[in-house]
Amino acid sequence: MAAIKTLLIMVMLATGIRSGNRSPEAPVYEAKRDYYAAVFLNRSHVSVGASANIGLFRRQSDTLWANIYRPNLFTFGIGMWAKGSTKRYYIAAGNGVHRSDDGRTSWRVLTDWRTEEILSLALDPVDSSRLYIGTPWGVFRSADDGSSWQKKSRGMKKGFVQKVVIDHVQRQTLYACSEDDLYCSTDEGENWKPLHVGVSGLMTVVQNPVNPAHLLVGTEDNGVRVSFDRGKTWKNAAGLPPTAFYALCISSDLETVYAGGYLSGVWKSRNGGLSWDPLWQSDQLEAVYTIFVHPENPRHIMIGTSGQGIFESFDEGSTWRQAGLRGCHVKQIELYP
Amino acid sequence: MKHTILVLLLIALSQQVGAQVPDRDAYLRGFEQRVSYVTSFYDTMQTAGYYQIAVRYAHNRDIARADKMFAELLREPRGDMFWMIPSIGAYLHGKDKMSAETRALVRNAWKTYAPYRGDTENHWCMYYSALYLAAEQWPNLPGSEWYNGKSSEENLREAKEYLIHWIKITTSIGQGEFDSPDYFPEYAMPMVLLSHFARDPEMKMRGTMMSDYIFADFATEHLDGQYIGGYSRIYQPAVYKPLLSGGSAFAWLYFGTGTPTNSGWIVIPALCDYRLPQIIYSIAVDRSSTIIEKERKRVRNVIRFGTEKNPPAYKYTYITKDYGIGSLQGGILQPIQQHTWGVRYTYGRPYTTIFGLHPYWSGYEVGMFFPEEVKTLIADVVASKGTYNNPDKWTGGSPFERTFQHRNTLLVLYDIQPGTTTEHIDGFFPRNLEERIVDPSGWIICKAGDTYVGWYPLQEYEWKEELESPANSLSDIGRPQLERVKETGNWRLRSHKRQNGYVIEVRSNDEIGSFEKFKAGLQKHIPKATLLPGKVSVHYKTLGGDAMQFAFPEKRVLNGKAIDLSKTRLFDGPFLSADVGSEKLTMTYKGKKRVLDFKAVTITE
Repeated sequence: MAAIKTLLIMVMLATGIRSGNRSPEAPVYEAKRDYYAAVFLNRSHVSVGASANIGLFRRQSDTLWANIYRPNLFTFGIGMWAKGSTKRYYIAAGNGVHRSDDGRTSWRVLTDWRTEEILSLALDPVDSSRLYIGTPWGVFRSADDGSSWQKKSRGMKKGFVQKVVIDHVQRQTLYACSEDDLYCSTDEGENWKPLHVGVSGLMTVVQNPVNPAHLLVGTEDNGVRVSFDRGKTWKNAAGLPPTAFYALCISSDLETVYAGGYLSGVWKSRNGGLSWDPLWQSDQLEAVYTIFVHPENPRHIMIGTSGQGIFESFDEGSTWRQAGLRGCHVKQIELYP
Repeated sequence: MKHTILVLLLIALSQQVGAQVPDRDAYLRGFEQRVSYVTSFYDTMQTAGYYQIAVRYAHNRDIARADKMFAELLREPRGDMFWMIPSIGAYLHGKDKMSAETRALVRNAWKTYAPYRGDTENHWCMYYSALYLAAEQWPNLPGSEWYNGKSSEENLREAKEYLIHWIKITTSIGQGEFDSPDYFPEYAMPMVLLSHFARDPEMKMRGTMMSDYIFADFATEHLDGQYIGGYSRIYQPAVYKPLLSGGSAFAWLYFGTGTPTNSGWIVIPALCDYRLPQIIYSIAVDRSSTIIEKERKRVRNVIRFGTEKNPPAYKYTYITKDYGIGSLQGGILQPIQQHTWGVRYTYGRPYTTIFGLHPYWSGYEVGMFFPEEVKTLIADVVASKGTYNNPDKWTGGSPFERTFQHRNTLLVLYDIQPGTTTEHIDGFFPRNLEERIVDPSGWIICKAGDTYVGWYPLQEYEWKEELESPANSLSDIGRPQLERVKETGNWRLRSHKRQNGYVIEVRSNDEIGSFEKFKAGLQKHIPKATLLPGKVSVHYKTLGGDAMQFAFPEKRVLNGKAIDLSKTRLFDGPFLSADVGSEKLTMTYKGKKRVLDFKAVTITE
């Protein structure tokens, strides 16, 4: 028994996990769905043989997450394309786009030396052979299942693209967060126009799924800005500190918006992002990189942080508990079938 | 005893090279002795390691032990590209000698262990060189047999494309991680391996040519085992103990200078058949005439906060048989570990240098080069490069620092914005100087053997005796030269004025006659400076009689004529010549010539 306990502790330590206090409301684990996390760790682990524990993780239990691919993959983001029995998993990593077509058994790197870091990826919801990536050198598009990539940044003044997303309604329309502005393309990335957000250092963008004209952006130094007319005009968000906001999420209740960033804690807005109230401020939080809201249970929220792993709330953010991956930079959390 | 005699012999041989360049036979004899010295250290070592394995295979000695070591190490490969290079090197030296089982283990490692590609030029150079060699070794395999899901042919093609791309930009607009004493090995190892083992004759030729190229680049700025001048990257403590760098190990092996070493960096190259051309060896060790070398390099890929992907980095280096002084133009040219200027000399190992810097750090700097969120990035960088945000650090460039060098005179100016992370500048003066005189004229006048250094601070300053704490005496990432001895006695010049600068004059005894003459000369040459925010400049007439005017940031005037750095050639000196965009390097030495033409992939002599 002692040996089993020791083994369990060793496994938990090996995966960088320590158990947190169990919430009175234990999570309901998902039938036929799994939680995945993209983990990006610090730079000291890339050289001289230090073993890292970064990459794609899948939740095993309450606070236990297991690395299911490579333990040394600087992972910026993840994606999944599913239709019928076809499931394709994607990883946006420091060394390219990785894809698995066989349930994560084997993976292939789709990109080559020309693309360097893949900061984000966007998958066409209809055509699985079509995908877009945001990189330090602009947006790249593949229309042949990742066999070849073309740079698609015409009209962009600055190349650094932190995030690229596809419009919820018009799949030919894309948004890209660049160093100097939010850009929009209405022709699958062929041409881009700036949306004149009015501040630089665009870090993230979200679009309201029921009101596609409603956009929010998080910025490096200037908080959050909001548009209700597809980016024609922008408003400052009131109440937020003027710091970096890396994470924005529109809740599955389709009314609440969450935001988090550097030394900001977690914030909540009930009016589409025009004004904000603090939801959770904690000394434990350096930066919030990502916010996840359960698609069917808007009271269930998870955040990915810099160095503190994942925190989870089952009461819409009133109380929080550590949910694993302590010590890790968690860039994205998803629930995939 | 035998080992001691060999060391003494090697030291004696390395003393000879300053005066007269040994002929080819003598050079090769010395080289083989050094190879023997370093490899003999590893072929009896019992702890498992790729160098130990490679030496055993190459020497056809204790193969069973080598196989066992390989199996032991391949149980849990780690180290990414730092695994790829030594492991493929060991494999290539032993593939015909190892057991079939060991061969299968190595092959399996390239299927199951997925090395990361990294994010720096040296990472990619190692990664793709090793992948190229591996893909050549195991052709016609499907993607399922490789860690990245790509077939042998796809891996071979991608690796070749990248290497050719890297060679093209390096020989067109300069190396990005240029002239790095610490990162020289990360380029030399893969290129020497390509030169020896590539099956494709063209890639083999490219490996040989790039080996020549980087060794020639080092050779022309080399003195007594040290790289001279400004560098893209260097770690502590090699920045103030120059012979500790990996590059110095290569200088010892290939140039026969510096001190004997059994550094692991040189083991696999020592086993390869690449031999330094005599012309490069001659360039490295002949210091019978003064060298003035101007070079153009490129800034590491600027991904944010810039308008140009690879702006130019300009170098100016002056070398005699006793010392060298060299500089970059200043500004941020490389993240974290830039060394903008320094004097290095042959006297007083291990502290053979005097230099200065503005110990700057910022999210802006790291955000220029790394893709993560700027505000959390600094903590990550510090985790990897522990001295980065230390105000007492001895490495790093600054956007508020600029230089102007003419021959052996250097002007350095600072216009530091208020609120900058550090608002002081520092100078390093080693403890073993024979003289460090604070002269009433304002000059600090130093004697380091036959090298004399004058430093004229333009603002008030203080002296701090340096306590080399264990934290900053350790190298940043645990390189082989770990030091654990607490040392005291080096001197830090610190000035807290934001508008600041200094003038450096260096002369050897041969150049000026005596230390007294040097002192007397300096006392008559006092710089005139304007030090106001946004208006920082200095006028100075050098000991050689040249009038230098320098206004921060970029106005450099010599004897009334404006200096245009943009006209700097890729290599411009007595031995090396190359134009920007040429993909060609011409080496000349005493009527001999060697031309590397990377477009034609030819070497002509």
